[in-house]
Amino acid sequence: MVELKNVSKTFGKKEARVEALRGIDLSIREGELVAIMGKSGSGKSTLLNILGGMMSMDNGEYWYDGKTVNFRSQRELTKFRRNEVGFVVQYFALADDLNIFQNVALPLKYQGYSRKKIKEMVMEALRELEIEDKAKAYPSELSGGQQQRAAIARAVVKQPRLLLADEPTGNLDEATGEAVQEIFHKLNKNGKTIIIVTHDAKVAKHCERIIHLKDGMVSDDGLGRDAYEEEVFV
Amino acid sequence: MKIAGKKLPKGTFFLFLSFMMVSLCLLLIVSATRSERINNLSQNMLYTGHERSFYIDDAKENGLWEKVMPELAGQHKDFAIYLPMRTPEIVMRGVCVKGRVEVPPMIEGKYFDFDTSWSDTPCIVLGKDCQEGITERNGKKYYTYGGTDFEVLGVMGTKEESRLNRMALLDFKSAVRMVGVNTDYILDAKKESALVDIAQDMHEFSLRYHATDVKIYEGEVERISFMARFLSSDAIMDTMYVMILVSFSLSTILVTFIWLRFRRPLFFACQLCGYGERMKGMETAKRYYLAAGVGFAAGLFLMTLFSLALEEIQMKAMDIVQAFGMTVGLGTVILFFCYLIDSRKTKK
Amino acid sequence: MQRIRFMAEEFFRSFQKSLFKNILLMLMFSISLLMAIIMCSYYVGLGERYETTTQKVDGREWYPLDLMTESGQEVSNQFTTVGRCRDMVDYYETLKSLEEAPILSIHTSQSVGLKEEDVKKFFGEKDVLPFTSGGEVNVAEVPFWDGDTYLTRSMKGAQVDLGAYRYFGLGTQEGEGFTEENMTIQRDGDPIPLLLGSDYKGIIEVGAIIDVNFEMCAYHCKVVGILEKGSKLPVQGYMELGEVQYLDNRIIFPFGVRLLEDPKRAQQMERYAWNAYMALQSGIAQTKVEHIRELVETYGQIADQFGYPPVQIIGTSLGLDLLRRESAAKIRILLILTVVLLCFSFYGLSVTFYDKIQSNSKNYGIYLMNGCSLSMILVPCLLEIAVILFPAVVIGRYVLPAAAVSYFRAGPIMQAVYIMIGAAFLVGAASLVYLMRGVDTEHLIRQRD
Repeated sequence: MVELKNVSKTFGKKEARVEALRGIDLSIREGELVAIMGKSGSGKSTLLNILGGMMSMDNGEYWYDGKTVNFRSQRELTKFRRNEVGFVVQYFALADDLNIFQNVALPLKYQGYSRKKIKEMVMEALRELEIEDKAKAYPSELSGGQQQRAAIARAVVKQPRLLLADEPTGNLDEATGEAVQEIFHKLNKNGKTIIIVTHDAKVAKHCERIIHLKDGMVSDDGLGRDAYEEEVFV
Repeated sequence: MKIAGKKLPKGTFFLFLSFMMVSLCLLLIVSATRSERINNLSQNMLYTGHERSFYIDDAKENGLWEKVMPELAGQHKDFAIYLPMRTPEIVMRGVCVKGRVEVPPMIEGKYFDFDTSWSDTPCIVLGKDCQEGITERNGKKYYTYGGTDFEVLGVMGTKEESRLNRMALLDFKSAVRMVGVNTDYILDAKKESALVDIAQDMHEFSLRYHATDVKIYEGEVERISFMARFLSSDAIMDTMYVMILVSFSLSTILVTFIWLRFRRPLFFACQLCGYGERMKGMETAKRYYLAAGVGFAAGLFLMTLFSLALEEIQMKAMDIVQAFGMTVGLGTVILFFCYLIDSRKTKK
Repeated sequence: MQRIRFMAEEFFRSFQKSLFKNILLMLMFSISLLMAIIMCSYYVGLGERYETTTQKVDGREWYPLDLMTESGQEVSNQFTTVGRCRDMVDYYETLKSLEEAPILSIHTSQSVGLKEEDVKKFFGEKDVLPFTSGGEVNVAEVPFWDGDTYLTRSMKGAQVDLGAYRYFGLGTQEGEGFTEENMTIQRDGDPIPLLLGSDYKGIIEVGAIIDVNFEMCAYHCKVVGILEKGSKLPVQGYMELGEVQYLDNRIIFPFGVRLLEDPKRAQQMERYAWNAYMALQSGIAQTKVEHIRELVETYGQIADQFGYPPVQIIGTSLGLDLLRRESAAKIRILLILTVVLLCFSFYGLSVTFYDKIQSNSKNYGIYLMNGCSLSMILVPCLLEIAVILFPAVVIGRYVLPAAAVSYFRAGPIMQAVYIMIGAAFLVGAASLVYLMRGVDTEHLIRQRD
């Protein structure tokens, strides 16, 4: 479903030049739950941003569903982001002045849906994330876990095929983090392709595949522990 | 901050306040400018306020103006020469106007131009309250004064009580015929700076034709400093309105920057949701114009209260339309400018 | 030295980062300050008059009046109809009748034009020079009462109204002085009263009818009395210094002649309008300092009533002088707008610095963690506030004096400027200290933008 070929990305100039990604080759199948791990500065977030069409690459190709993603055309990129990708970030990125319903409905605006349809889709997403009773609340009134659920609801409400999460549990306590992790599992079981960037091994072990990045390159690409155990012991 | 259960986004309250003040100032300025123009016209009896008087003394030949005026009109524009006539009640003046100086509000017909004010056909523009005595002949209106039938070019005046309503203006040649050349005159021009040149030329042309017989006294054109021009008692109110408007506009720019900064989580959320720049702009504009619109409504409400409480402040529908247009224009420029800068900053 | 260098660098860095916002704030504060000063001057009489422009008579302050306008001709161009001339006369009468602000009109150096033939007739062989101003004989610029132009001699004169006549205790040795009766004439053509100085005794008799030219108008006059010897009036504008003008060799013309019947022609009424106009230009009004603003507002209302510009009270404060042509209601609106503007300026300053501190909190945390004191962070911010407020001081220092179309004391105005700027600075500094209170270093570092 997703394929990166020889992708490179550099930031800065001259002495400040940093090669965030160096010749990344990657392939992700549909329905996979992938964790991308690495130390700080290994290029994980950069990779995720490129996968989500949030950032352009300097070299290489990005193939999605057999077609290249054209980073030169803002219009196509926006369309790709809007229709194919859901993004979840560490700090939730909820708009403070919109309530949860409005936040989750944000991707559906200007898509031509009727108000009734939008309400239906939003409430469904909220139900799936078990926060439908918080629809009228504002982000500041919710706990971290609830906010992250709302952010995930927003990411999935438009039924994207690819869900990207950048340190989704980074700002949560362990119990809440695990609960969020469970949600990702549930979504993955429903057929979503999920890529999670994390430095937390506990999060990564639950993923079926772990890609390790080091100094902008893939240093390891193997099964997650659970997947490993499943494969080995089943 | 919540209003009716809905959270008021950060920075929006002050944006609303800014636009309320900007709208109020614009409404004040627009209505004050409109009514002041008419008031000034009436108070100054159609003079600009920087007119200068002069007199011709001892001119032996009545045909002096026939020689001087065409030359003067050829060299200059946007000036007028008035010949005040001493009359019991109605203010009556001869006028020769070239170009555009002060034009009174016309109820009917038209005002003088050079051809009609410097013509052999006696013409008159009457004030609204001086129409008694007008007769009609061959589809034209006439007014008889001093034994002469004047063709009525137009009727000027205002709805409110004003001195324009009791004025009458004759064509220049007729006035000179009635009063004579040796009398007081008033020279007026659209720009004060032009007065000296016109007066100088008038003096030279007159000397050319009547070397020793004519004395033209030029009124002094006082040189005032640049700051004093805006801070004189005639101009101070306008200056202060403008200063306040500028200041509130600047404050609106500042408030808009702050407002945009508070919108960054929303912008980021929009970006995550796959919004393009156009949609992001629309979302921003929608929220901005809503705050601005409510601010304008509040400013209009305040202005209505002022106009009900104070007689001097009169607001008309056109004033509201003008002020609304200016507020929208100003708001759009500010939003565009601030959005552009803020976008560049966030991209960096 | 290192500390100073650090603070200077921090100041420049911070100032440059929010340069645009700082410029906006500078402009806002400058405008706010100008407005605030003018409003204070209007309402509180800030920078009120030089003592030398007011005149002390019997220990009371008298304010000189003036009806000259910026263009100088706005009033005089209006005397083209009987109605407008009557408006000027009534305007003067109304102002003069204000109980709470009596007006005296005095002009002690006038020239009265007499026909040379009359001078010869009256003086005969006597020396006329002590009575003349200039001594020359000229052809009259305007015709005399009978419509003819004559050779004219300018005689020394003075002009005084009934109020001043009584106030300064002028009296006559022969005939009567100015009275209500002789200052009121039924129609144009009835003689206007003239008084003569004591030196005229034996030259011109009481009851003599004289035609004079005075201030470019012809008058038909009657000598009603001869003043006592040594009669004097304070020289206009110099009362406090005790300078007086003796009237012994002068012709005294009245201010404020009342004409009961309107004449048919504007030229006839014009002279009375001029008389009233000159009376206001040469007038002084008495009022208490605390009532000046009310008087200015009253003058404005009366001016609107008659369609003439308001009389200027010379020596009032800057604000009163600048705003004398505006209604009290409009000025109140301006006051509201000024207060709101000041609030907005302070809001802008507070929010800008709040924003600055929020966005720099990580940096500040790092500085503090590395041994920097709180004052080393505060001082550059305070300096920035001072720089933002500085243009307001400059404008107050240089723009306001340019606006001094009348006399006012710059000292109190400048003090007010400094006090306002100081207050703004203190408020800014206090807000800053408040925002920086209880800074948690660790929290600052961990905090993300």
